[in-house]
Amino acid sequence: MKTRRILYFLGNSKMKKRKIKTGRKVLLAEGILVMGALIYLFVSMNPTAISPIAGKTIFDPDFSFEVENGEEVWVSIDVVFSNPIVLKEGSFVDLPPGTYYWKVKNWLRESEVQTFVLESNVGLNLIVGGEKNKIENVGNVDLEVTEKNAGITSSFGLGSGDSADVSKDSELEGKQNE
Amino acid sequence: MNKKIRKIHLGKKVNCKKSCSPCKLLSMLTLVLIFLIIQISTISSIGITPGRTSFNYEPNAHKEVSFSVVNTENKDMSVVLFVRGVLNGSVILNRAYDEFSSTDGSKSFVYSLTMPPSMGAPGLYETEIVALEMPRDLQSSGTFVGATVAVVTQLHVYVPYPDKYLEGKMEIISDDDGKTLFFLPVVNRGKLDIVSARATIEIYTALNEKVATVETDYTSVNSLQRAELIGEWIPNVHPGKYLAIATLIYDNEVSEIQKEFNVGEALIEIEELYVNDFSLGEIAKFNALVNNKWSNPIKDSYLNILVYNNDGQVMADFKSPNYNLGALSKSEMVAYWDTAGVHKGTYDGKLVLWYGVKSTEKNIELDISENKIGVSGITGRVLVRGKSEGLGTNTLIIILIGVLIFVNVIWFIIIKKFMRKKK
Repeated sequence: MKTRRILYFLGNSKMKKRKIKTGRKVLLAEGILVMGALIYLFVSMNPTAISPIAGKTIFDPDFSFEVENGEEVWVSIDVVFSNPIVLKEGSFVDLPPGTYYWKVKNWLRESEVQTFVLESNVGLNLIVGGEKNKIENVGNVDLEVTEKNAGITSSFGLGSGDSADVSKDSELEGKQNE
Repeated sequence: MNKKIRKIHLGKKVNCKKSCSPCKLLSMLTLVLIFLIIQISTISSIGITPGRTSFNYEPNAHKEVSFSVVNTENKDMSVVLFVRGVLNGSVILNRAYDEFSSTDGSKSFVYSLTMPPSMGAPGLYETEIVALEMPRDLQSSGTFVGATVAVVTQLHVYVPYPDKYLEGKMEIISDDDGKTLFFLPVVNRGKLDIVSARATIEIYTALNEKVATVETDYTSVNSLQRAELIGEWIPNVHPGKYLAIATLIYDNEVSEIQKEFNVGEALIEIEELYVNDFSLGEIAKFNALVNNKWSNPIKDSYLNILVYNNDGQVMADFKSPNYNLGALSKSEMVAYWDTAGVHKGTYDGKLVLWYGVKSTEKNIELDISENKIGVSGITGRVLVRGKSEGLGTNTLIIILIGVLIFVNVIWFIIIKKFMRKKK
């Protein structure tokens, strides 16, 4: 009887030890899984600034920021982002020509700081038709437009994206206003 | 604008076996229409970048400046370049004529500048390089009569002032959160360093009422160097046009810069649309109550209502007259629809409110009965733009880790309790 009890006790403790060992193994496996997942998350959620690429000069009045894993785009005129312009998906902002620094942020991390140059672009479109012609400022700066017609010269300001009626057969000339 | 014009289509084709007078008239009209469309869609366009290059004067200095002429509309054209202005004789263009084909997006040009050994009084000396758009066959035809378009890249040479002279401009940028940044790039055009420069920006409404004052930080600006003054403002005012007056204060000197800017966007909301005293087959009077939330009057705003039949085709398209909407006020607009031939039933529609180049759109439903038009769909609709992605991989992983941690914590608690009981 005693021997039986001892044997039972020994068997029970072996079972317990086995259970503890299995538990440890499961825990270790879980730990490895969690660590792996966290490492994956850390790497895959790295916000990336795709476009405009570093150092790019942009002439277009319309351009967009392309980012990966980002929630916000921070744009600044200084590298320390002392007064950042914070943009989200679908945001629109009018940036004057100049040099800008930008980075992408998400809740966890932020990308490397990139820079781009927004170059002034003077652009005019003349649409001929109807009783009057129409002149459009298709550049990214405000313009002073000079109109010469039948010996008369006049000038007017035309904001970026704005248009104005002009006389037929006018000689038109646009230059940066400020 | 030009894109819209390009999308104009001619009407239906009319097939006719005999040469009848209505057909002749129709073909004549078609020809006139084609001619008019060709006339309307004629476009001259040209761009140049950069718009300006600036240098400080250095005796006999030699500079090379490159610039690009942009073929904005991607068409065949010729470009004639010439120089004019104070330093006309000191600027040499690498070529004064070039031809663009429709595949040439832009072409680079270079001009060289040799600064004269001496210049006159301190200040700005302006020279302009003009790019004039001409037809592609200019060299063969020799002459051109008609409207012309030219763009200018400016060359600014600054002769320094003997003392302190701070020149600045103001750029105003607003972000989505409503934060407005006042950027003041300033350049010391004087030979002496400026120890301390700052700006005070006062903001005024269209009625000349001061609504805010913004101060920038102090900065020093060395001779012929550039610096930036920045002011930040969180507007707590109605959307509208405002005037910013920046006073630059530097070493006991003062100068002023002014600029108009917008807070928010011009916004008009359609609050109500209803039809009173209606009888089917007669003219229906649509009354719309619109709210101008912009703090400036908006001119020439009008309402456009489209009604679709069951096949989704437009069966009615009618407009209101133009209205001038008062600042921050509600106005009523009226549009009339002749319902002769319209049957009872429910129709989909669209309500478009045009103001300037902007518009507000709402999908509506018209429930037309013998003596009533019920309009629904005016209020309470919010459109969210952007893609809805659902659960991404990363979100799933985060959820999985969360669940795993939770399960483990519960598991440990249960095991511990179980072990304690066993003991």
